[in-house]
Amino acid sequence: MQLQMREQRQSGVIILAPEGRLDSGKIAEFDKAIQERIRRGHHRLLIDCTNLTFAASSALRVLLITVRKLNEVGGKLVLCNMNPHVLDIFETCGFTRLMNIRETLEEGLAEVRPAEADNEPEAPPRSEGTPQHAAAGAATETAQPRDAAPSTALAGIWPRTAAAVIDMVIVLTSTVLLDTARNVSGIGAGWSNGTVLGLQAVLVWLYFAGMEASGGATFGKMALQLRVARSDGKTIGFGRASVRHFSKLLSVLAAGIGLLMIGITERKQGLHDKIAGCVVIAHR
Amino acid sequence: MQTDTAHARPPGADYCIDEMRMELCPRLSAICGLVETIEAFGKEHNIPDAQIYCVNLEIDELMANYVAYAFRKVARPRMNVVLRTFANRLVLVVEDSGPPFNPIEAPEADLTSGINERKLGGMGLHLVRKYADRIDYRCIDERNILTLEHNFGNPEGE
Repeated sequence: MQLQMREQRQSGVIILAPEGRLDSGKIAEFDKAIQERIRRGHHRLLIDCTNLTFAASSALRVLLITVRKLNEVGGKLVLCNMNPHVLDIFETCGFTRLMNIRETLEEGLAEVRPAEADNEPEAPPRSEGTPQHAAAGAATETAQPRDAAPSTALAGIWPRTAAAVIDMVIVLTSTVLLDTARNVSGIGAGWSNGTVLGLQAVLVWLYFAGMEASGGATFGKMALQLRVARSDGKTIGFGRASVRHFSKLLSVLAAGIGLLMIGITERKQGLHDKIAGCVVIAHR
Repeated sequence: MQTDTAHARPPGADYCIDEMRMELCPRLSAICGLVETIEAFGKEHNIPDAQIYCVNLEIDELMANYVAYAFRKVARPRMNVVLRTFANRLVLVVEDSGPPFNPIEAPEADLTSGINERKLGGMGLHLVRKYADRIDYRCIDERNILTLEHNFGNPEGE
C-alpha cells in the first residue's frame, strides 16, 4: 500500500497531510517526500495530522532528523491536528517536548509562517521555551526573500579560513606580547619551557572556547560575521566550545582531512564540528 | 481460524475463544496488509479498538526491529504471529528465528535529551513495552517467543 499525502502551499509554508497509517512500511516514502521538499528549498513545513491514524516510531525518527536539519538552515517544522492515538505515541516517546505541536491548522500556520509576515524584522529571538521556539530567532535571518538558497546560513570553508587566519595573528601577537611582558617584568623567570607552553595553551583555549561560548564568535569570526552554534542554532556553552576546540587537534592530525571536511560535508562541518555537534553560521 | 462457539462459556472462565496464526515474510511491506486482517479479527470478536490498535503497533515495531537487526543474521528468516482472544484479554505471540534477543532487557530508550542529543534507537521497543499490559519473553529451540497481553474490561462476576 502506498502512502497517501496531500500537499498544499500557503503563505510560504508547505502543508503536508499524510493520510491513514504511517506504518514502518511507508516510512521510506514519507522520508523521501519530506527531504525532497527541503532540497527544493522549502524550509517551512506544517504536517497536518487530521487524517493520520497511526505513526510508527520510525516516523518520529524521520521527524526528529528533519527538525535537526531545518534548524540548521533556519527552517521550521510544526505538527497540528493530531488525534489522541497519535499524540499518545508522541507522548510515550517523549516527543511532545521535542516537537512543535499545535492543536489546529490555524495555530500551526501561525507558528510556522515566516516571521516577517507578522513581526518586526528586528523582533528579538524567543530564546526561552522549546528548542523549536529558539530556532525561530535564527529563522528571521534566513527567511528574507532576497536569497532563498538552502545553505546561506552555513559558513563555507573560505570565510572560515579567513577567520582562522585573523585569530591566528591575534593569538600569535598576544603570545609574543605576553612573553615580552613576562621577560621585562621578570615574572616567572624560573619557569620551564613546558610551563610556559602549557600556560600559552590554556590562554589559547580560553580565547577560543570562552569567546565562542559567550557570543558564538572569536574576533576572527566576528570580523567575518560568523558564529559557532549548536546544530539547532542555539549558542554553545563553554563545555561544548572546549570539546570543539580540542577536537581541532584531531581535525589537523588526520592529515588536515578533518578541516577539509568543511568543504565537502552537507552541513559544512569539520571533524571538530561533528564531534562537538556544532555548525558555523554566517550572518548576512 | 477456529472459532469456539459450539461450547457454552462458563462464567468467569478464562480460555482461548479464538486464535489466528500468520506467517510473515520479513519485509516491512508485509505490515501494511496485516492491519486489515487484525482489525477484522477484532470486529468479529468485539475486541475494543484500543487493544487492536496496540497489537497493530506492536507488530509494526517488532517487525521493523527484526528487519533492521535480526533477519540479516539468519539463513531462513521467519516471523510468526499468533493472536488469541480470551474473555477479557487479547494476547499477541510473536515468534521469530533471529538470534536470541530479549526485548524486556533491552536498554531503555532515551526519552529526555534535547533535540540534538536525543538518541534515536530503542523507541520502538519502548512503545511495545508501554502498550502491552503484560509481557513475557522466552527463548525455546533457538526461537524468540514474545507474549504480549492486553486487558479489556473486568472478567464477568468480578
